[in-house]
Amino acid sequence: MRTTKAERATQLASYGYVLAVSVFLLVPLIVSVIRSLTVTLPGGMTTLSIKPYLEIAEYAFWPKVYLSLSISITTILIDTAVGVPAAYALVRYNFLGKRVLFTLLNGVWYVPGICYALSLILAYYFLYKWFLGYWGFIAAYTAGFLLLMLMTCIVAFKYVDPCYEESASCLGAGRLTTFFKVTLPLIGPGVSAGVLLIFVLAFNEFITAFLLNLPTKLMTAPVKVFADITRARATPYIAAEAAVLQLISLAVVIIYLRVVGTKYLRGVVLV
Amino acid sequence: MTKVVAKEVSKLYGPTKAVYRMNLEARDTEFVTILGPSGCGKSTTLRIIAGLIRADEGRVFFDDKDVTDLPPNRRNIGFVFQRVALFPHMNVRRNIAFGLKARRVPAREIDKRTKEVLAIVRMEGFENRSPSQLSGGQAQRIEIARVLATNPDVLLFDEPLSNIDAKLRDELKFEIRKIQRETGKTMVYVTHDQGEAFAISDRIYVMSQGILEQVGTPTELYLDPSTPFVASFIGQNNFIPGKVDRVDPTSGVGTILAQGIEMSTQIPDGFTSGENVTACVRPEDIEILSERQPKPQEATKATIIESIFMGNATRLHVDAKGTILRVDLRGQERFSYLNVKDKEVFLSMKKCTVIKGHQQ
Repeated sequence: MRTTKAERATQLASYGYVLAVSVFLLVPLIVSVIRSLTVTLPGGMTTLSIKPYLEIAEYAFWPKVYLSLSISITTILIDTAVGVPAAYALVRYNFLGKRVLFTLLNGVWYVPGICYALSLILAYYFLYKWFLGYWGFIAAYTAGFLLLMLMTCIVAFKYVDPCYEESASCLGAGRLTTFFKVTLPLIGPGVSAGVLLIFVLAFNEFITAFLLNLPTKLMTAPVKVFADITRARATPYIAAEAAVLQLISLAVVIIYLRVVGTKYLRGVVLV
Repeated sequence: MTKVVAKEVSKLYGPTKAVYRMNLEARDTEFVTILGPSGCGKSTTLRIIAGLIRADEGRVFFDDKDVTDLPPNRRNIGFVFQRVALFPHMNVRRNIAFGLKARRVPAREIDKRTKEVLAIVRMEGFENRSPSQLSGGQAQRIEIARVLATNPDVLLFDEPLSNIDAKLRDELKFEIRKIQRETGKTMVYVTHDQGEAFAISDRIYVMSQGILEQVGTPTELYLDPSTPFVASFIGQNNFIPGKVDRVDPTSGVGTILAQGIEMSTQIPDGFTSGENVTACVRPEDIEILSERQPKPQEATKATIIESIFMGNATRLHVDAKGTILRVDLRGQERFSYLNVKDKEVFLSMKKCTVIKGHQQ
């Protein structure tokens, strides 16, 4: 079947649009990478070099990356373990105050990040002074990001017809078998979306990490980049740090979608 | 083989009585259908039997065992839902194996059983298909196979054919009946389609507004409806309000005088002369007497208002002494009154049922 001129024009426009959006999204990464590879020689000449990437080790950047990764992964594990059953209960069971709870949960979205972070810090200061090390970070992050897992799973559970669970039960499966073999795979897209959102946001979280840096003396990678910028401005090695953070985020998301998204938890919108 | 008994079960949602004091018994190997319009409580009753809904009152027994407090997974039932409930993330083989794995059946036995049940529903070779690759009818067959695989004591079907097109529905209902006969399972089937219920059931429970109206074989319900609801719900009826004119106490045969139309019929016990009744006459039970036929004393003069050809029958609307009646003509006779209008004829009521009170 021949395509008409109008169809070809629409097709070209679509490709152009996708390309423009992609470039727009990737510009910060591209600029960071170019800047990180551009080194100024003593005579004022510039040249391409990977030296800034070697330098970041000297400025103790990698331990901060490991810390950020560790905090993000632990946060995801705890939020998944807590959020999935909580979302299930919220969708499947009726209890007094359910609507109020939903409203409160939704309300948290509208609180500015800095205010929410400060509230968390104050809470931990006053209530859990003993809780301010690594696990203080985890407590703040899990509380802060739990809603992401909760909401994505609530939406997923709402789209799972209860007849699948009833059917499993009539076929002789107990509650746990039904949950792990039937319900959980069916809400896979919701869990996947929650995992990815929490990873990207927790790994790059700045406000809470910055405020927690003072009492805990623990510095995450994004805070380290900020500290380096305030100290040394936008030098190539800081651009290298920024590029590394962006590449890690991108790599983790792509690997996750390839490994998990196409198997057990298929159906993620990005795949 | 199991007998299913629901005894005085009730389910209330606020002031609404979804099911009220419902009694049901499905004997060993019997095919029992719960029939009624939408919202009459038939599915709720079935879900109470399955344990998917907890009754507010009443008990459920499988044989003599009280299963009221047992969850569905401990009742050894097979439940086929209205919507296809095949697990979308599993292929046909894994769907069928699910119930067997839950019962810790060995893998070799699972393979054997899967083949057996697929043969029963005539779906061999579909083991590796995913549910999304099946048509509505195929999916419902696999659903039945999945249920049969676990060898349940009782089969419970909740309007399994309502989302399937008419031709396939007609085919599948007989297949379900055949499967039930071959496997000898006790079955409780829910439907709002009386044609479906009549074609496949041993006995039918008719429900309306949460309560049981009448129990009987398809023939009993059709020929002898005991409540106004059943009379109007099962098949079609002309309702003619009138009075019992006279009753012969020995034979029980009496005469009903309704809107000037006289009808002789068997009067049930408990009716007295002069009592207000409604004569229920099915359109196919009214005979149009030909001009040459002798006219009995009770023959009613009427005028044909309209004639509608419906394929297997011709429906006439006739005016009998001011009462509009529907008359169905079948066989070759249906071609004799095509496009007939304003013609005077004589009607003879071959059969009528009498119910108390005036029913419109």
